[in-house]
Amino acid sequence: MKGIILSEFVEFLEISLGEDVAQQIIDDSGVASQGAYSRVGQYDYQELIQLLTQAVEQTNVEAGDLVGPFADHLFGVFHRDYSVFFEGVDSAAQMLTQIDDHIHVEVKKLYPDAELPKFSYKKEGSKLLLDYKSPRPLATVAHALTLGCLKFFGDKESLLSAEIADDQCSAQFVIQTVSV
Amino acid sequence: MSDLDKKLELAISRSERIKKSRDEAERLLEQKSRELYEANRELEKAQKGLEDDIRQATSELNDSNQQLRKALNERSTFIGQMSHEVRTPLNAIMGLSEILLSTQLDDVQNDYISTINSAAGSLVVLLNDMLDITKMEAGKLDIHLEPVSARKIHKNVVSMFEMEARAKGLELKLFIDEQVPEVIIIDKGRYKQILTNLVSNAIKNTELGFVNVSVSYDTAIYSEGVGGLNVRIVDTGIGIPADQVKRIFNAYEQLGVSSGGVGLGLAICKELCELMHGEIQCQSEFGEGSTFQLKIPAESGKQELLAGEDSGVDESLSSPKLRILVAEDNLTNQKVLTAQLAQLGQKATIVDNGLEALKQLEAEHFDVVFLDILMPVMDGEETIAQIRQLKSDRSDQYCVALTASSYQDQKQRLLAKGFDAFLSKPLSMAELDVALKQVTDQRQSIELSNAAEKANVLSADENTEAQFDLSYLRSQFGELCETIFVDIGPTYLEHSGQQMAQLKQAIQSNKPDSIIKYSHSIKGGSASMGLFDLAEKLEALEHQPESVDIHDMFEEVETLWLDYQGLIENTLSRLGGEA
Repeated sequence: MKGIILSEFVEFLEISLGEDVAQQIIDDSGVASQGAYSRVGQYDYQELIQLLTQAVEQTNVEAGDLVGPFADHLFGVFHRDYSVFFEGVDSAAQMLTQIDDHIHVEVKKLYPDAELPKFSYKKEGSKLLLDYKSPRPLATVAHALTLGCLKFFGDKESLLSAEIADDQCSAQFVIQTVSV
Repeated sequence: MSDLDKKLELAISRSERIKKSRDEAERLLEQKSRELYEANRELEKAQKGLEDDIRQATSELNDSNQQLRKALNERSTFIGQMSHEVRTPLNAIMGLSEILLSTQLDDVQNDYISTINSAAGSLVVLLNDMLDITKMEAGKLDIHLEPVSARKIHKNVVSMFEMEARAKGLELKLFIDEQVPEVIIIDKGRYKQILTNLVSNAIKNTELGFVNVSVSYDTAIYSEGVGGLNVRIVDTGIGIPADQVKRIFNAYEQLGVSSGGVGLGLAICKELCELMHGEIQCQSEFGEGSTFQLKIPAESGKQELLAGEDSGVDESLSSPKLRILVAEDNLTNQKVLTAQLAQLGQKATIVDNGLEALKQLEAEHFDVVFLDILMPVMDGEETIAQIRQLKSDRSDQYCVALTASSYQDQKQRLLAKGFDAFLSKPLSMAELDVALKQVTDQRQSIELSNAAEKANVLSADENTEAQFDLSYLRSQFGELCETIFVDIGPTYLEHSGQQMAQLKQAIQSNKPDSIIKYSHSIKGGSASMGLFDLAEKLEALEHQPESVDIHDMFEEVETLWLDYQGLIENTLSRLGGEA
């Protein structure tokens, strides 16, 4: 997993729970990297699950209630630091459909060893069917990020359904797009 | 553990974590830059490889370009040499057919020979055109600007075609605008070539109506003092189909066109125009006629610049008799030139090379010397150098270069070497006549009185009625025998007369080499005339130059020769020839 997801999760924990609590979660989670993440590094995705589990345990907040705000935070960071991908994009559907064809292509150029999930899509009338597939069980994170994306573009479009597989490795999201 | 301790511990742990992540980031950064550095090196290597590839490809292209250029040059040289080889036989065909035409022929024969003559003429034109095209392609054609009388040059070209136009019942007119300066600076030869070609085409392609040539001049359109010479050649001929108008100026498209091709002439015109920084255009309506328009930059010059320009037009055919020496190694060419000169009422002393020409010049005075350029023993260029170094009045001997190459630069080069004039083979009678007229112009009145004196000497022996036996010549030349006799008789007399004197001297001073040489030479000439008894006696001399009876043997030869001399002179005077 790319370091940016983990380093931003730690950042998110520090902002929302305070530095001490965040450090406590890291220490207690027993992650191998000791939470010393660099954006450009590559880490085991398990560490994200370990941190998340520890955070849920420590704060008594539902996992979904942690992941949702984290997705919003992450999306804001993406927009701040990778604004080039947002140029000329004015809807969530547009953003989501260019993940595979554009964003991940560029990511691969910079990090040839990155293992990226697959986002294929098809359009059915005004609906956008988005298929998520990953070797890692992170469909919940993908779900949250999809929602974060819709929110970022002002919730003009809506998520009609989200079917997440039991193994968390695939999901289908149906989005109602705005007819132009 | 107190809260404070706990807090401290967390803070330390956090600071360690941050430090570690920073170190990790730095390590990754370093690794990334190393990767970038390596990638950059790979790129540089690849770039260098590409540059090397390009360099090699460029060098290969250069090599093949040079090879192509070399091949082109070789081809051009080859064509030059081939044309040189072709010219000699062509010279014979043209010259001899021309002479045949002036003899008694029936209508059919006349028709055949005219066809041969005009076909040979077309070959000469084609050969010259081909050479021009080759030269132009090799970029070897130069432009030589000189002051020219604008009126004269146009009049001369047009008047060359007056007879042809009249014969076809065409009106041929020349209009020269008064704006056209008296003197223009232009490459006379090349300009004339363009004009001649265009007027000739117009006449050839017009059966009814007219051909008009109009000349005008735009002052200073190119730059200060350099105006544009405009020539329009309008005809009412067959015209050119619209789809062909653009192609007529392309040399290669004219080749292999079975009908309707216009030859290389227009392609050459276009190239020459461009060489002179001018342009040529054609407008034509099929069936209605054509208009060719020339526009050539030409500076207007001062009248004084014109130095005795020749008229370029044949005036009359009869030139006064000239003493002519020809140095030419090729027997065919010797024969043709002799015959042509005879047609113009001239005879010449012929020698085989430059060294003999120099000897001849020491012994005799000549009005003009024709020197072939390529000769064994001593070539034309060496000979002219020697002549120009002769004492006083001999060094300004009028000399004409003869060459089978018509290259303009060859002409310039030879004139610079000291020749007074330049003729390229095959020669037409008209060209030869013009050349002789130039000699006449230079000659003083003394020559005329000398000629009269010579005529007196020749008529003194005219008292015997006996005639020369023409039977041998008849067996060789049929009805032409008298013409041939009139043609070669005087030459034979003069040559063998001189050589008899030289032979006599050689015998007196006992020089076997010279005896062999002269008796051999007189023997050949005598046999050609059919004087076989004389030839036989000369052969005896040639084979026994050291015989004790040599003086007696020579006396017999001399007596016989003098007899024949009388007979030949009588017959010549009866036939109205030389004597």
